[in-house]
Amino acid sequence: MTTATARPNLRNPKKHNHYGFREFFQFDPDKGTIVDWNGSQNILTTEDFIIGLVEGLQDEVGDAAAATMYTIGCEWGQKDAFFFESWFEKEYDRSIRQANLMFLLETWWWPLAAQGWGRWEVDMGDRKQGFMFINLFDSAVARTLGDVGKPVCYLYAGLFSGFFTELVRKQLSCIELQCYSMGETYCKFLLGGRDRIDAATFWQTEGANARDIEKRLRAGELR
Amino acid sequence: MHPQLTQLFDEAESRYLKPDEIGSIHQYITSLPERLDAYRSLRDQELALMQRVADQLQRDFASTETTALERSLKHALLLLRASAMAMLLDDETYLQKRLLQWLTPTLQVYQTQAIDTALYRSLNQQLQQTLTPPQMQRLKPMLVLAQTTLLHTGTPATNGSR
Amino acid sequence: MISVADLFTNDRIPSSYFAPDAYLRGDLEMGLLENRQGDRLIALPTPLLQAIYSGLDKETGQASRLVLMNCGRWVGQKFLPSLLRRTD
Repeated sequence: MTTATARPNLRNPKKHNHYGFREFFQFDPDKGTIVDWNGSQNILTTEDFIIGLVEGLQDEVGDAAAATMYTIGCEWGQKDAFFFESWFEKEYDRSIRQANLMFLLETWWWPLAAQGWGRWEVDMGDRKQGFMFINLFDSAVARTLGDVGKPVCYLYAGLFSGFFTELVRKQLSCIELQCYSMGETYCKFLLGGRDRIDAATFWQTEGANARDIEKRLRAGELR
Repeated sequence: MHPQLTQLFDEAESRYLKPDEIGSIHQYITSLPERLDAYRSLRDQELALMQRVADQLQRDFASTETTALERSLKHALLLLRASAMAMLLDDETYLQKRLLQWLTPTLQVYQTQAIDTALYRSLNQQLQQTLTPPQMQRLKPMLVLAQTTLLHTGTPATNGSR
Repeated sequence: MISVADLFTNDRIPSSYFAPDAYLRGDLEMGLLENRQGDRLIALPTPLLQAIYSGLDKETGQASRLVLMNCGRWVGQKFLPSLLRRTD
């Protein structure tokens, strides 16, 4: 007698620690589908997909590839925010507006970790000043592309921008301050309003590194 | 681990196990020495047993090319090993996932029903003669499941046949 | 004369590489997935797939078809050698 192939979260809907990938993904070999705990279909790919997408973009739009990856990320973040809101409320019986922020964010990230997108750390220490930092370990983009001497995680930057913009209902942008693809051990992102991001971008082009930018932002500089 | 036991552990996250649930676990644990005994016996006798099956198969299918017979024998070895593990774990889904889901369509491609039917008959006879009755009793459910699924005789395949 | 002992390679018979519970490996703490060979895997959920189409459309318009074709071609070209390595 075999167990029924119901969607995983129907078997035990109140089981919150379901991110071990064995429970998170439901394989249906007959249909050839993988459905995750929250009901989204997934495709499992190797790093070749990332490379293919980046190369495909570079071939067609050249320098606009980075901006395009960022836009794709933003779209992803935005769509995921809606998706997240609905499954979070179903799972925890409360609106995302009623939840503790750190808990909310960690809950949002767990499926992404289960899907192999890496580990993150959120630094909300400067939230009152209108910006925050996100550290990302084992970026799927940067680890794939390797050390190329420049930041490459536009997809993630867009993801954070799109998601947080929806979450806080304020326009937020995101840039990568340091990247594994520049020889660092992890990637660091700055998330904030337009003015902060513009300032950081400017300092970056002048040669400031992540530490410098962090310092200047915390000192209240905007130019 | 038997999927129902795993499920028990899931459900009992926030409570203690009920007496009948503890009973299920106890039942599995106490059956383990017997399962291990059957498993070890099979492991130790596999080569000699399968060689006798191979010899019989060659006699019965003297005009069939060796590669076809070898293929069926390899599949039967997989069947035996997967059944043994599934028996040890008391987990039919192991058999489904690790063997039946991919082997069933493979056998349909090779159209080896005639060879396999004879092979399984011979294998079951050899097992009956080699294992003790309690050992055979442990192994039989998994064997039957595997063989009937692969041959599409008896109970319909639970892996969704086309 | 068939020798059963000769059917084995290192006491093993090749089985299915892709049984889902054996093929996919992961380290949830690290946020990493990999296949049996140790290649990194990522799961692309539906929101991302939708975003690829909408993002490409926004930024590249008509060229999005070509981008995706190129991407697919790359994945396809890498697929067979990778498959052969895995099933060898």
